[in-house]
Amino acid sequence: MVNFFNQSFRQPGKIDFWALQDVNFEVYPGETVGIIGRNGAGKTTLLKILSRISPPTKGSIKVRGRLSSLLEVGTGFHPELTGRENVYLNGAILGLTKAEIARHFDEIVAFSGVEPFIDSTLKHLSTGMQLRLAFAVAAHLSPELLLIDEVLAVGDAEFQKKCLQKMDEVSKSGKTILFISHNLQAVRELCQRGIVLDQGKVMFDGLSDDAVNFYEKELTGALGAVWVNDLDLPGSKVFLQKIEITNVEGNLSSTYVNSQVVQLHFHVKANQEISEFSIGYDLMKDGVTVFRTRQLDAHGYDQLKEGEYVKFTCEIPGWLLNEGLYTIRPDVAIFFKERLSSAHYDLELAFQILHDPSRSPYHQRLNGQNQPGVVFPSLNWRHQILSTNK
Amino acid sequence: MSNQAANVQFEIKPKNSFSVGIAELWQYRNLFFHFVQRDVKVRYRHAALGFLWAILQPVLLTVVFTLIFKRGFSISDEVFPYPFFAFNGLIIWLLFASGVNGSANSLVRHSTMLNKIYFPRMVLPLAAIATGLFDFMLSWVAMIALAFYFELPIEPLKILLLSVLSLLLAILATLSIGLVLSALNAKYRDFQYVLPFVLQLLFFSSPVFYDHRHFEGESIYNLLKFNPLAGALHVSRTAWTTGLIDWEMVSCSAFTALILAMLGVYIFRKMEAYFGDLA
Repeated sequence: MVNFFNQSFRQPGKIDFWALQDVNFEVYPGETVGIIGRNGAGKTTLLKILSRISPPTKGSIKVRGRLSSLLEVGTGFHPELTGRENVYLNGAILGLTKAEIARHFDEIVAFSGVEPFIDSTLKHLSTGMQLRLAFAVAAHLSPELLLIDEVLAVGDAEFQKKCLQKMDEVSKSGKTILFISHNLQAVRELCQRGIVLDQGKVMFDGLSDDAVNFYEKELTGALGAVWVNDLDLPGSKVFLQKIEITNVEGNLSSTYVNSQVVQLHFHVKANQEISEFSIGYDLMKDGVTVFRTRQLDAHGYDQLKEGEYVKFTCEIPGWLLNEGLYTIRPDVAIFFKERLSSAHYDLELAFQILHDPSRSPYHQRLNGQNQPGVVFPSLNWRHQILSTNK
Repeated sequence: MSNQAANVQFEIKPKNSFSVGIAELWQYRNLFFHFVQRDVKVRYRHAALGFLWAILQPVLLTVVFTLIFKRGFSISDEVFPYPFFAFNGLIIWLLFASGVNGSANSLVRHSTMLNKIYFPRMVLPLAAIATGLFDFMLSWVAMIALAFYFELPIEPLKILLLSVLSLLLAILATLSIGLVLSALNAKYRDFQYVLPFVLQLLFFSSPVFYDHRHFEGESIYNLLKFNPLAGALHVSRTAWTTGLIDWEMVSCSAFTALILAMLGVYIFRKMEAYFGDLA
């Protein structure tokens, strides 16, 4: 059980900044809790305090049981030692006794799948093998409380799958998991409970589905049809002035059904003559890039004259996106030479896609349930009867 | 540890009261031994001459010192051949220097670990100091061989007792400087430039290649006897002579070492909470 009480933390620095304040919650044995929030919401601070790397300024956390965290994977591995020696060293770093490691040693090696090389020096093992070995040690720690950061973001797909499987296994065996993540989909799938942090405070605490919905609706905050840049940096070659999201009729909106066409309008002003101008954006969903596109993909208008105002419009067809919240990350550049948008276009503009229930008779029966997938394209299906039984 | 794990209840609180944390260090002794073992293994794994290096270093320095300093700082040769005198001082000095060096860099070297895992931070400088003990043991055995070669009078009990005492004093001196520097080096990286200078300064102000009695009666002697390492060097030498220990000098030196060690522990414990923010 973890018991938070009035937890606050002050970052070292000149001005007082409370990264977390009045955070009170309890986690019970066997719970899988996802903690979500925007960048700077206090997630990492919470993790650092929980894993005892940084102390809180005020408040306290009571922990019952052994706590360890998966962000420790592979820490303390030494390339000059053998795999065997590293397993023991890593175990000791994570607080295990020699006897405990010895007891699990065969399991750990079997899980990692590097048996033939266990007595070779670690530097002679591939990175993948090292990662597997490290994860195997961490996975066999059997703590009562497991902290998981964005581990799932690293490693190959196979490794991620293994992580998820192990998490699932751990939670089923009655252990408690705190999962701190940007990956909303993973939080939905793996956690029963979700806590939304914002500006150091708990904004929501409840079922993980509700928490993710709350986060998407309330906190992405960027849901809107217009974004206006009020910061014209002097000396910038191109200025992205405005982004508008409209339907085909040109009416501003931030909510669409997936049968509708969505139009994105980018208003740019050239402060000097530019050739090979590139404007585009990444469409993001749950932290995943759905696609990247730029005007050069379609037509070649890439010459801007000094003082020119130009509007670039991109059309996202209907029957492409699935239900959910999509974020736009614009990118203004001179093609493959210079990014013009790195600092001042740090915006989050988002629109929402809802299901159009008219898609197919079967689709109506989904009845509010999620259709899995980042996209929900309209694909052609044919059929051909190859033989009958008569 | 695991059988009591279900009952482990700890509280994460702001740090406001001071404690040395000895109980917790004891709990993590396993980790301490692993760090020492790792560093010893890694050091010698790919060295062609292996453990010989531990002896070669003081031997070569002794040769140089004998050739150069023998003239200037002759000590009563009838008791002590100078090479033995120098070797005796050098192995203590090397234990001290490698310990201070290792512990001063230990936190920076393990910064990724400090960012990710909790364990009592003092394990790192302590393990760095203990790593040097391994080399010391080897060269100490070499010193016995040297004593036989020079046909020194050997009183096993006296040698053993005084060697242990001198080792303890040397460890205390290493701790005192090592802990202060490790904490400060983690926060202010300037100390990585200060460190070689401090070591050099200490080398010349410690009676490694000369005898402190050279300066007896001079006003500088009052300063020299407060050198934290001087006591260890003196006791280590007395083990091989018929002479008596100058307890006043030893206690002055140990006093400085003790004060500095306590200061080191205090600074370290005060600063360790924020080591995780440093890297």
